[in-house]
Amino acid sequence: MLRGVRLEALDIEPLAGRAGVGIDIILPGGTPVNVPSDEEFVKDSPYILRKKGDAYAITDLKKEVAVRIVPIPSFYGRKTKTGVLFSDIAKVHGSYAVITPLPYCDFFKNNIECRYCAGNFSGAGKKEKAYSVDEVLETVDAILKEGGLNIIYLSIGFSEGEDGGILFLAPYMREIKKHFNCLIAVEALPPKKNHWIDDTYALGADSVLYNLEIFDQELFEAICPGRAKSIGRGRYIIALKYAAGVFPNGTVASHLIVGLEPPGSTCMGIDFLTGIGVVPILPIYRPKKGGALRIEPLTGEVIIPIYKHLYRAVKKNNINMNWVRDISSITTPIEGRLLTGEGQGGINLIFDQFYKSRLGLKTAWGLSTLRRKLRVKSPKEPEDL
Amino acid sequence: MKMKNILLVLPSSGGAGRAIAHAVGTAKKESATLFALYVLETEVTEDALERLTDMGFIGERPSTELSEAITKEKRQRGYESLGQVQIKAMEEGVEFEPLMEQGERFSKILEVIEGRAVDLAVIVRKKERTIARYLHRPFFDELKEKSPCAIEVFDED
Amino acid sequence: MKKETVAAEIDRRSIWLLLIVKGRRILFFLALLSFLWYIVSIPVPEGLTPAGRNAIAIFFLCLILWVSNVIPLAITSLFAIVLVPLLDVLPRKEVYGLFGNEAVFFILGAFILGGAVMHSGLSNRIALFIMGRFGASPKRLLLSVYLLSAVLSFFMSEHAVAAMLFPIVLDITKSLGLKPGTSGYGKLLFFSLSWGCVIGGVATFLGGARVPLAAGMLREITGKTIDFVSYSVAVLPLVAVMLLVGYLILTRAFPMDVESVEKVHEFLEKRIRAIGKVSYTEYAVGLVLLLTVIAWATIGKITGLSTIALTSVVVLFILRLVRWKDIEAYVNWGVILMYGGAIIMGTALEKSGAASWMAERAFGQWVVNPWTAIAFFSLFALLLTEGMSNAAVIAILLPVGVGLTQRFSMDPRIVTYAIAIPAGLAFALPISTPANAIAISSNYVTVKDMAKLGAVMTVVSWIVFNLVARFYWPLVGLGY
Repeated sequence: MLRGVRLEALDIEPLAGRAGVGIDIILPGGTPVNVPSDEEFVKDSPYILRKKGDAYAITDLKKEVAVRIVPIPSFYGRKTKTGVLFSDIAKVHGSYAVITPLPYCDFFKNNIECRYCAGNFSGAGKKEKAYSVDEVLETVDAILKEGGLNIIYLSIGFSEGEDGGILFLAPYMREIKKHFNCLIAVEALPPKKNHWIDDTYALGADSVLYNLEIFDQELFEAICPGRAKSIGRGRYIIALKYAAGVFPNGTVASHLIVGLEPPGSTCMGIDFLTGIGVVPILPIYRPKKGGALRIEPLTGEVIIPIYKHLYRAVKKNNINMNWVRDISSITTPIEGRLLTGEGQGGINLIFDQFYKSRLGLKTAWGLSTLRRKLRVKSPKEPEDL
Repeated sequence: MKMKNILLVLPSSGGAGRAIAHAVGTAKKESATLFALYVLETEVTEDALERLTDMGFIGERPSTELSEAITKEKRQRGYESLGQVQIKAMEEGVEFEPLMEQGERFSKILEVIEGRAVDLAVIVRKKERTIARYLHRPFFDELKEKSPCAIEVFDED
Repeated sequence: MKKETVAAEIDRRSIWLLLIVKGRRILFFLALLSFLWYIVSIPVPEGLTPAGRNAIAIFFLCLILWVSNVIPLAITSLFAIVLVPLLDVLPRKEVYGLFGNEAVFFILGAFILGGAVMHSGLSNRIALFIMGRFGASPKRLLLSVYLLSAVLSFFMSEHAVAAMLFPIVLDITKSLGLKPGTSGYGKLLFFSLSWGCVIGGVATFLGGARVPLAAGMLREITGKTIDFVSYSVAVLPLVAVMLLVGYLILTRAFPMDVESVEKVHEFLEKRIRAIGKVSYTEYAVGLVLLLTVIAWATIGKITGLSTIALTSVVVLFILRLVRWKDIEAYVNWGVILMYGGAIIMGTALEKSGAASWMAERAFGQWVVNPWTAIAFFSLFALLLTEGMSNAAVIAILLPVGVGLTQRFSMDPRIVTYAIAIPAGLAFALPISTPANAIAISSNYVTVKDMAKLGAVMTVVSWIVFNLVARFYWPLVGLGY
């Protein structure tokens, strides 16, 4: 994830650029990971992806590890009734499918977008048009029929209004919950008032992410000027803490991008977030062409202790690690556990298999639904006039 | 702080003379608009009637007609109560708007408070013995907690 | 424009507490079924058969459900219908055969007839006429409401009468400008409505579902019958005395704070003018009802009450006096299940020997002679009926009461009366009977008023009932 992988031989090329950015592979042990393959820095990567017969392996010319390539989801090539490609609406990342009904972030309008942003939601060259509820439902149907995907992520960038985008997502959430028995995660900016977080839960979100991205105050303000100005770091923390009191244990998460702040700061962020009941999850910053945001050097020796710390901090605070996991482009505490070598095998292996199984998914959905029925007193839904 | 909107919540039965005088007086002093709310709690009636129909083996038609008669009566009483407030408001030259809402009392009160940006809500409660008052305390405590405006509670006359 | 509404409210209490609170219904039923299982599993007590033990288990299950009203009464009866054959108390064929009980068809016929009377407007016309004709002064108007409620309840379900008269009495109070909660005359009018219906409702078989149910259970359990006329002959003195006492209590409790009822007459005249002259349908329905009552009184013993009732229903349809879709809305079909279940339960208890076993153990030491049996069961029925449906009181007490009569070689009809009549006399609480709840819903009568006066009336009822039973019944062939 840090250095990327070079693709050896032309017959592997059709695999490139498949699931959006990078290649999704399955490591031994079943861990999905999205590996950069297109970026500038990959040229210097010591890792090569090779094909050996029908199998694949990654080698650094000293050792070789057998891996599996995640096939392109079959629904990618299909379209909705309105002619939109499913792959435009949803992107698969390991066991999650991310749907962004409005592929546009208002920060770009005022040129205050986060400086690390790849620009997917700049709206450049595209109309500011949201995908309809029916289009999203068709996509979700296709995703679920594919199998092996656990949660539908509904994601929204910044929008005006104090609700953090939940009013916009509400009809999508309602309809998905009405038609499908699946888990929903909402990835949005924190609303300005806490009652919207209650509404997010009441509407059917099983998990919520308010991505702080950078823990250090100064770097946050410098790299994320839009979010610092319109929301503020303080509001992120208040919202995350409040959400951790509303949502089930382990379902409130926040990105902390590794590489955008010193490792020590990331670790402080991990400690702080786990202290308030939030699961930190760690994407690695992949520099854009010409972008020079990354803290250097960023090597395995720097990153691995962070991942180990992540696992230990989450465990110490008794946060459930099994909700937010198996995201190919992000390191979660479960992967951190693999690196520490702790909690391997035995009962943990059985639980791991259970959580990934169909029965485990159904159980998770059932328990989540039951909890919502018990907790939500008066599910009044926000309305548009 | 100047008040712009005052809400008077009328009881489903019983007099509210003192509360009306207070609400109108306050609205006049603050040059505020006075809203009077009467909540028609039909769900309670329907639940009770369902039980009676079951116990007494009353047919659907007599039960429905009875329910309609009771609801009509309650609505009529509501209009009379609102009328009383209107007369008093006109006498004092206070701007007035009557509201008749149907549904659950607590949520309707909160809805109106938020919807009309009420600055002060005057609520009339039934005269009850201390023990009943103690049991019902949570209603007013919860209302005071959730309401964005000040709440004043009056006993019915 | 986005509208902000009241936010969803999250309950933050312990999840286990929430599970208990929100799952209490399921937990209740699990506990109930566990209780049933426990009783069915214990060794058979001495003097009881396995079928008897199982019958008692089912009985207690039904008792808890009838008292708590967690599910509708009629659905509770389904437990009896299902469990009695399942637990080998009675054979299945016999159980379902009990459904075809005469009492069921009698009450259905009576409800349909009552519905026809209401739907045709006849009852409404009678009410308006009586009040208009005889209610010239406040006192007379009050009496006319009181006696009208009572007399109509002789011929129709008392609850339906209360529901029918409520809007008229309400309009009377409004035309007089009476203030809810404070007007003495307003209270008097609604108490008269409620007490008139309650007292009148015990006078005949037609006043409610309870007497036919008691008669049906008695017949199935003992083979003995109660006929239409004998019952009314036994009860009417009680009804007369209760009506008088009730009137005295009410008029002493509340002032008649109205000077003139002129406005009521104007209103009643307007209403009578609005309904026009008596229609053919009203005449015909009235005639059918009259002939039916005469037939019940004269040939009821020979042909059976239900046969007459159903014949009258057929006549109504032959003469096109009613349509099915109009009439079925006046009938609560749950009564069929209630009757079926109660009769099955009673029969099961009797035939398995559980009824007499329970009666001996529960009441044996207190009930030492017939007089105490009547006193005890009438008191028990009066108290139970304040919190439960009348029909449920009978379903619970009658099998046990009849089981006890064997000890004194007592006519089981007497105990049946001792349970069925007081079971209809509920005065104290709104939940006791629909007529009370209807009076409370007017807002003229308060729960406090009702509880105070109702308690007095309950005590009076018990005393009067026992005096009538002790001194009058032997004169009409119900000696003990």
